[in-house]
Amino acid sequence: MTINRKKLEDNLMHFVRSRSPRHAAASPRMDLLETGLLDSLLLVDLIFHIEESYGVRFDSDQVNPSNFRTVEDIVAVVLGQLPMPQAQAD
Amino acid sequence: MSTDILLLQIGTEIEACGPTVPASIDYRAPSLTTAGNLGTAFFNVARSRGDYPAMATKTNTFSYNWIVRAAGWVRDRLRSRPSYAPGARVALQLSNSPEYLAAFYGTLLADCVVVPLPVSLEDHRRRQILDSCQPDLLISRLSDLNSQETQSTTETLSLSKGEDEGILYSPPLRQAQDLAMLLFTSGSMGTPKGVMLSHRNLLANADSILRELPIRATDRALAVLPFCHAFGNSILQTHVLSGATLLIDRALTFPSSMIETLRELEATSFSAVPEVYGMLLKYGRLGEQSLPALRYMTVAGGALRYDLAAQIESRIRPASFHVMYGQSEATARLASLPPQELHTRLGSIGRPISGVELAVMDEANRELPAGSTGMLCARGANVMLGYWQDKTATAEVLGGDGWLRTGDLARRDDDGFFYLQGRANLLVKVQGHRVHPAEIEGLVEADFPQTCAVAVPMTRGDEIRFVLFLAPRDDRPIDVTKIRATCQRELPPYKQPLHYEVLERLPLTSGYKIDREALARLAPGVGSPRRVQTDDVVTESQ
Repeated sequence: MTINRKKLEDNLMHFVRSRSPRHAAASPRMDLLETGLLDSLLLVDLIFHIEESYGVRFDSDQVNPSNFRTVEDIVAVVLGQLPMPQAQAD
Repeated sequence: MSTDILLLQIGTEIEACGPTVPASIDYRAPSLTTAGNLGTAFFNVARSRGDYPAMATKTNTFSYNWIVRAAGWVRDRLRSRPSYAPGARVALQLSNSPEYLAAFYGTLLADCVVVPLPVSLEDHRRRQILDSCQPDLLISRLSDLNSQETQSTTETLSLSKGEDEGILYSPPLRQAQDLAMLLFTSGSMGTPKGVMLSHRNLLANADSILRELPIRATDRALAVLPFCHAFGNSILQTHVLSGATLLIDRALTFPSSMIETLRELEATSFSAVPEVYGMLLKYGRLGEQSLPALRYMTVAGGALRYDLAAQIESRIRPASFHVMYGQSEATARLASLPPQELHTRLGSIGRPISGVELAVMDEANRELPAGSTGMLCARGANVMLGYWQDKTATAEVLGGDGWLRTGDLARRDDDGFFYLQGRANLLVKVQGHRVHPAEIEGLVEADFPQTCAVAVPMTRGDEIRFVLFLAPRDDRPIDVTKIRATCQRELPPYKQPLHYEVLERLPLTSGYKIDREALARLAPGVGSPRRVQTDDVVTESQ
């Protein structure tokens, strides 16, 4: 299984934006920590959503602020987790 | 009706307010046994603690002198309002911050009643609460308000002027049994209920906890639980009344940053709800980094699985781990399991803390013998006055004999240790928040009257969340996308259903009631997580 980068990003953006009216204006490069959009409950839900949908498993070293600062960062971590062949850039 | 808003502001000059005053080992806070007013008890501690830090962040400290001065300004502002009257409610919409302390104790010093609101409270719920308690004022700060909320009459109060003015003490008008705080929580029918706590309730519970936990004046407690929560408020009161220091930090989203913050701020204690401990174990590598300052951790606000409690205990040694139990109606805490009993009383919530009686009772309020399951009841000076303007709901849980029916089913062993056995009603704890399924069902059915909605708790990993079952009342189709959008708009994330399942009809019990147990068996996620097919999932196979 490979995952299309664009579709993965769209999927995660949809997940984040539909969280609450405050999240509706989020963009892929928006800093989710500075803006306070990523709280611990959203973090848990995001991890679970990704693990459930894409069959990847995060380990404790990966759940950190630099990997989850923006949706783009999260996409990069998820793609890095997937078995080769890597997803092609869109 | 809109509520006037007072915005608290701390200027940038506060950045210069450090360094930490050296710990005075021999400080002993005034006894709470004879105290009759929480505001006065705070004032006495603050006066005697002086420049010692009451609150610290990674960059600032706020001394007891600072907090009492700021509280004095809040008090004076409240008293100067034309609508001021002792006993008036003052709502607080503030995250954990020095402003929260100033607003909380300032309100009490003004002889008013504190109504703390969660910062992320959904709009319709905030309206219900404000309509119910009619506060004279709402105190907040810019970062804790939505932009549309600032349209009410807004004033600001700067908390950083005049460094050296003292505050004049005036004797309190409120007595020990008078209302001090209204804590809104989900009642057994899903509507918000205001738990009325008196000065005596709050002081008595703080006193009991200080006899149970090894809290010292030199302690530094990392406060991750919101102060507007009964458990968070309890952390706040016990530490301030001991003259200790509360640590706060904005960046606590990640389990690894929590551990890092505990280390960096040299926290001596940490208290959280079970879900946070689940995260710390899974992603925080708890125990790999040594935390030399840490003396103990506590868990309350929900049931933590025994095996997880045992793992935490072994990973934080030599620090101790205290499992506690309580509820808002009892101010905060009722029972505690001594750390040395954790491995012998598997799954126990412990024994009643000092000043509290616990008993397992039958329907007729007769005490049951050890081993029998029944309603867990509590009695003590920490049991609430009742629910705000709701005599019926009060009478359902609070008898004339002073026993509070907690709504939790429990049994007691021969040695007096208690074990929870589930809920007697439908209330569910999600991340320490009490949620009634009717809150979700009522919202959906109000907007989609042709739909029958039933929210059922589901287990996901170590957490509990909701799945929403939907069935048509007539032959019109159910629009799950619209229903989900409504939930996402109106409900805070922890109340939002994780899954939506449409059924042709809902299973009924032999009494023609909706069979929630049958639905719970249909809920996904029980046992191992399964792959869920929803329109959100866009994985591709090639």
